[in-house]
Amino acid sequence: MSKRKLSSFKDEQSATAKSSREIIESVRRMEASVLSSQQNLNDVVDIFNIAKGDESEAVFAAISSLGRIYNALWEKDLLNRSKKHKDTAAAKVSDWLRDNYNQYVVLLRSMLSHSEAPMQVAALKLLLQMIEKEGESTGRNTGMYEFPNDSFIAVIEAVLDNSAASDHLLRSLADSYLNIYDDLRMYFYRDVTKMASPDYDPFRKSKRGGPRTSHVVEQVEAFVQNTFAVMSMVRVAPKKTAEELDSLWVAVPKGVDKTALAVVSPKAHRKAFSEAWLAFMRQPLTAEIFKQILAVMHKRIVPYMIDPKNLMDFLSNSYDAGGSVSLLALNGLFTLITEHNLNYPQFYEKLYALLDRNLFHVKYRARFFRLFEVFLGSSHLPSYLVAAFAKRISRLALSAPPSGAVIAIPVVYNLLKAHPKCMVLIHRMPEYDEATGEEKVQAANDPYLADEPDLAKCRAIDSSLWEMQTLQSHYYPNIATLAKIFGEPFYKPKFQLEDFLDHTYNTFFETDSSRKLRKAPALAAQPPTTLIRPGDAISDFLAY
Amino acid sequence: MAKQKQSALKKLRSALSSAGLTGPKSQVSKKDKKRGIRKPTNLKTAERRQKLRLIQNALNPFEMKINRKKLDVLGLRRKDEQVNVSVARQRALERRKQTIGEERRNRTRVGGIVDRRIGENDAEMEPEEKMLRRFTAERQKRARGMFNLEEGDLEGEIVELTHFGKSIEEMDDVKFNGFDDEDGGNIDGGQVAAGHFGGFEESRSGPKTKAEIMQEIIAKSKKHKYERQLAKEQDDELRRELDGELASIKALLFSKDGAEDDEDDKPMMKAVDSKAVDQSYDTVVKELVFEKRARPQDRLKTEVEAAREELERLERAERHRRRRMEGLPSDSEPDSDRDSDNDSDDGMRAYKAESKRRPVADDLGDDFAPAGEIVSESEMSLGMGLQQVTNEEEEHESGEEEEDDDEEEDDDEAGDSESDQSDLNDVEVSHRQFQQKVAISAQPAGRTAASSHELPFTFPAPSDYDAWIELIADYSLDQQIVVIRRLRTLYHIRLSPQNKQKLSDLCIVLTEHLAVLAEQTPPVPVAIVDELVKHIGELASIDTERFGEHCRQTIVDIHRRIALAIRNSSADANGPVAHGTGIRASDIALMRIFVSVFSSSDRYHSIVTPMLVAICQYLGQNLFASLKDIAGGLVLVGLVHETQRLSRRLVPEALNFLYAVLAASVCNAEDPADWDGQYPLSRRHRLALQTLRIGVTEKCLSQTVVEPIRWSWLVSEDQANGGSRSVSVDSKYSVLRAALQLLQRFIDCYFSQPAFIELFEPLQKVLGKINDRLPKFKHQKAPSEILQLLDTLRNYLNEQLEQSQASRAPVKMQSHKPLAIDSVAPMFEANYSLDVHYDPDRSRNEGIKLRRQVNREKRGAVRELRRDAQFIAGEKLKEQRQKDRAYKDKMKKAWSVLESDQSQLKKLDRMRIRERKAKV
Repeated sequence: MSKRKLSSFKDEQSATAKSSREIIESVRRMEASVLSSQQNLNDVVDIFNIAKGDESEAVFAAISSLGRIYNALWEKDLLNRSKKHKDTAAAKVSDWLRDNYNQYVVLLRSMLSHSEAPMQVAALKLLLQMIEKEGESTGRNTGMYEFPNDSFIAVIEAVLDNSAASDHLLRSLADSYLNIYDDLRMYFYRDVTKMASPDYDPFRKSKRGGPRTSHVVEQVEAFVQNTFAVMSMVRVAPKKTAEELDSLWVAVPKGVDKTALAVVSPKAHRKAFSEAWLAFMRQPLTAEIFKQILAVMHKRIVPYMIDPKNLMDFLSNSYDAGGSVSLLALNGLFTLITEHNLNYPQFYEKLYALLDRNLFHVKYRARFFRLFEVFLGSSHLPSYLVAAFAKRISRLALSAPPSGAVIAIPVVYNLLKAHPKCMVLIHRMPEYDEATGEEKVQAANDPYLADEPDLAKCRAIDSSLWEMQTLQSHYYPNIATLAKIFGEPFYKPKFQLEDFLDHTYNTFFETDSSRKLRKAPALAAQPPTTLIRPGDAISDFLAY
Repeated sequence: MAKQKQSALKKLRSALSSAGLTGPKSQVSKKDKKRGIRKPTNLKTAERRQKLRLIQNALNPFEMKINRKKLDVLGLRRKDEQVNVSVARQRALERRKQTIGEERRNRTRVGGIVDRRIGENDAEMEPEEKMLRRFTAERQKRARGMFNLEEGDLEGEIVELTHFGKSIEEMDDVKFNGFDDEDGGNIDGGQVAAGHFGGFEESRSGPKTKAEIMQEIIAKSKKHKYERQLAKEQDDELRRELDGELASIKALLFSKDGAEDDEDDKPMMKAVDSKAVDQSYDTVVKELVFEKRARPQDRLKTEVEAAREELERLERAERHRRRRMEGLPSDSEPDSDRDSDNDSDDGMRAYKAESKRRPVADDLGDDFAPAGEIVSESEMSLGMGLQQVTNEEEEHESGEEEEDDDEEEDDDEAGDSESDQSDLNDVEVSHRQFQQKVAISAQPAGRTAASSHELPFTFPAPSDYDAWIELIADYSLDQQIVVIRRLRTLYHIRLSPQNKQKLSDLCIVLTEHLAVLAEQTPPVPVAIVDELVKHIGELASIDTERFGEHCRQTIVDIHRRIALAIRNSSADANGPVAHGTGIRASDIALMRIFVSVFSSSDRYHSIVTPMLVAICQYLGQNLFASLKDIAGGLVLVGLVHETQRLSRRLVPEALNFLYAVLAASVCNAEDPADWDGQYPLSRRHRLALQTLRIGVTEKCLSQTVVEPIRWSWLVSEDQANGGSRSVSVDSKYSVLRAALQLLQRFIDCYFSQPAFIELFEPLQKVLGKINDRLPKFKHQKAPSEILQLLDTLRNYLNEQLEQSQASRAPVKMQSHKPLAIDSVAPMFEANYSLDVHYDPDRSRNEGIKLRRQVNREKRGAVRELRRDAQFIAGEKLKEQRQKDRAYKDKMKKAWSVLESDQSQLKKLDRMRIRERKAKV
């Protein structure tokens, strides 16, 4: 703040600086007078007028001072419209104050989309303070606990639908409020659910506008972006017991039975959480957010859902989408299959289809192969299936970068090790004719059908892994050595796949280039006489 | 045997008698005593006891422990066959007495002397300081005495001095006033006794003050210093004199005339000298006898022999190369199998051969063997700090540079933007430096050979690139080549030991120069470049390690730029692209040299392997959007082929790139199914390669031949596109032709691979597609050269595929010696023994053995400790008993005195009573 102040001081002329200082001074004076006696309440209007101005420092001073004034007024219960005595002077004052207060709140909400991030954060802070006071006041008057959700949803809406929402604003909402206060978090989830529902009407009270679906596309995009940002920043998972739910923003008034309240019921929290996520997933998500949700799904969403099976549609749709989205969905799907008893038909066919030409090049290959190892870890899988996977992976390894080949070799080794029936893939003896005892002439063609999506029909088990044999003469020496393992007796227990997953070109290059030169590098027998050797491949097509 | 059957009693008796302990003569009878006869057999008690014990030990069968022999070897005597337990116990006891007992006895004593001398063991302390310390210590010690008269005030403690109980001050006032006036300074004995405590020898007026003492010390130290300086000056003077006379002394030593002169000068010494000369002559003759004779030199080889030797050398070199290709260590020096057509290499080889023998004085004449192998490690590394090379570590996230999937165009790399930025800056800076170099050297490059400058014949050796630029700034390219030749002659390796360093500097400078020349537009003549390459190739063997290190740094630099280019292209295709990222023409030229200078067919090569990784990363991940990039990529693929020409290893990235380039010429970028093959391809790559697509309406200049790719295309974008914005169709055909030719090369290269069919089957489809889709209209016809090439390649491929199909058999990678089937029959041991372990698991056996050993040792240690404790307890008991006895004796004595006193008293009393009674 102070930095900003300083810079604005510099920019402005001294005259305006002086005037702004005077304004701040006057605001302070008026605040003191308002707080000292109720006679001076009219000054509130003056301060409010300053708050509507352009001078950011003055505005800041004015809104904070108004915040303090309204805090005090809430304490004195002067802001509640009383229905009984409509005509008394006190009621009139209350009404008048209440109108002013409402204007103030509207102003604050509009400031949430202020161009400067600190102003947004300050507005949020004041708004939430007001909500706290309002809730306390209601509790004091009625003796019941009631969260002022109407005000809160208005704030949340102003934040989430705000295309100008700064990162600071979202972060401060998540970190200073939602991560700390249980009631705010629960109502936030509920409000998100409400806002995400298709028939939600943000202007239900006023006459303009319609349901959310008729909104402009940009606003929906902003809502999705902001909501995901905040929801991913809320690190606190729904708590398991009522005892833990002890940090409340709006305090429960004394004498109210706590156990009956939803705010302290863990089940209500979980429900709010589940519904919020489900509702959010129904939004038109961008591909980026889609992937990010999938990436955190199995750790941060599935375990806290009331009924994780509700995610099944989302996950199976993503799994069918193909490409990297499928790879990401695999993780969540796996959690559902193993822990929530989901039955997924033709799972292995889909998995086989995931092994496409880009598999070894995408970012998520490590993640995929970690799961792949689990899926194919069972020793009860039929050998045709295992053989198909081994063959497909070796085929892909033939055109994969070293970082991919270094994964493919241990994976295939582990498959062969676990399924000795598939050893024919790397060692096939000629078959003998039973009657004559002569060697059968083998078909020259490779029986494997690379384009066949059905595992049972691709005939991989009748093929041979020539690819692995070729990888033994890979240009990168470590891979060539690793591929030699297929030529040795299978004594080695399974490879720990984890050791091979995180290689990249850069790690390979680092290890090679940082190796110390022990002895002088070997020179060619004939020193070159020309830049491009005559007869060289380059000389065919390059003219110097 | 008979002896052993005797009863124990009998044995004892006989033993006693034989030891002279029993029997008639053993005891001294009273009679004998009276007679005063002392028998010789009469022994002292202690001796007797010892003998008795010996006999006892020898006879007691329960004290003999006989260890059973497990493995009896005839004739082998073991120490522990029979162990006498009591003797062993006795020995242990003795040992304990000497060790623990001694310790116990000495435990309250403190021995040794503390060395409290000052500065005696400190060699570094100055003598002055030493003296000062000692002095202060002395004074402090003295000051500690209470009655120290002299220096009492120094310590600030005021002790009142007294004489006969009276204060000295008081005495002063009274007695000594004005006595010297009366007696003229003489004082009498009384005064002396009173005032001077009986008279002191010292005539000093009073004690020295601290300041005085310090002054004295300072003066002393100054004097010492002065003396030392004086001595040093004298020494220096002497040395100078000696130096001055050195010439004459030398003359005396070495010239005969001088010696004669000397003799003339001193005739008196002549006789003595002649004798000395005789002696020296004798010794010289003796020495000469033992000196090695000169050996006959090898005769010159005939032409046939020389040729055969050359052939052998080449064969050897090839053998070593093959070994390295297999990944085995080559057992020779890497550069010894270097070819030597030229003078320099001959020189190098000769120098190497000579450096094996020990240097002799004659070597000083023509080629002096460099001392200590020329340069130390630190000097060597000085050359590495090239401007271009910044050794910053790059940090990458594991998946960050990976390209994304085809659906996605925007990778989120926002997190790395800062590190990107710093990297970018680095690269920018180095790029700017590089551009400056290019600009500087472009100046002379533009000039014609007919420069007015006459070339001088000598040059200073350039140590870095700046010096080189300075050197050649005024010369044309041809003259530069002459300069290089002259430099190599001037600083020939045989001329001076320092020349090795200079030549290796030159080699690195030339490498940089080549990089600069490769970037010139228009390109420098190929002859110049080739000449430069030749020099680099020859100079590389001068200091291979240093050159290799330089090359590796170059590769690291190139890789950094590659990584940056990839990141830039994947982050945002439209974003700001930093200058100097990506591969430059100079990089390609340099890497091309590395391929031919180094033995690139090695399985692992410290320069070529990282280079290949870098190239493959570029080919696999970079976004090839411009003709410059694509042409560069094709040249790199050709370079990769050159590295695998002999070793024929699989480089998937090169094939993938070629496939992509081929397919791009006819395939639709929006339809992934159109691009056949297994190679990975994302949407972004397809879109980028779109530039290569040959439209049906495009018309090319020539209907028959295709232009080759020009080197200038690699240098800059404008050159590649010929000034226009889009890629001309002719260049597209050039690219297509290059890709086809390269593929033909790779087909040859990989034909023997088992997966040849898998590798090249997709090519069939791609070629078919190209054949179908290339424009064949009358006016927009593809050049006939392309069509012809395509046709031959298709036929060739089909042929090769068929051949490979026919010859391929299922793999048999597991043809090992068959393993024995696991037996289920129980194992049977013929002579089973409980003491032997039959566990077949070696490690388990060893574990058991070790465990046993540990247990045994532990038991032994516990036993020892227990015995020690017993011993100590016994000692304590003994001491206690001794003390008790002493006390008892003391008390006894006291009691006896008291008792006798008492009895005396009682006696007296009784007597007194008796007397009284008697009186009464």
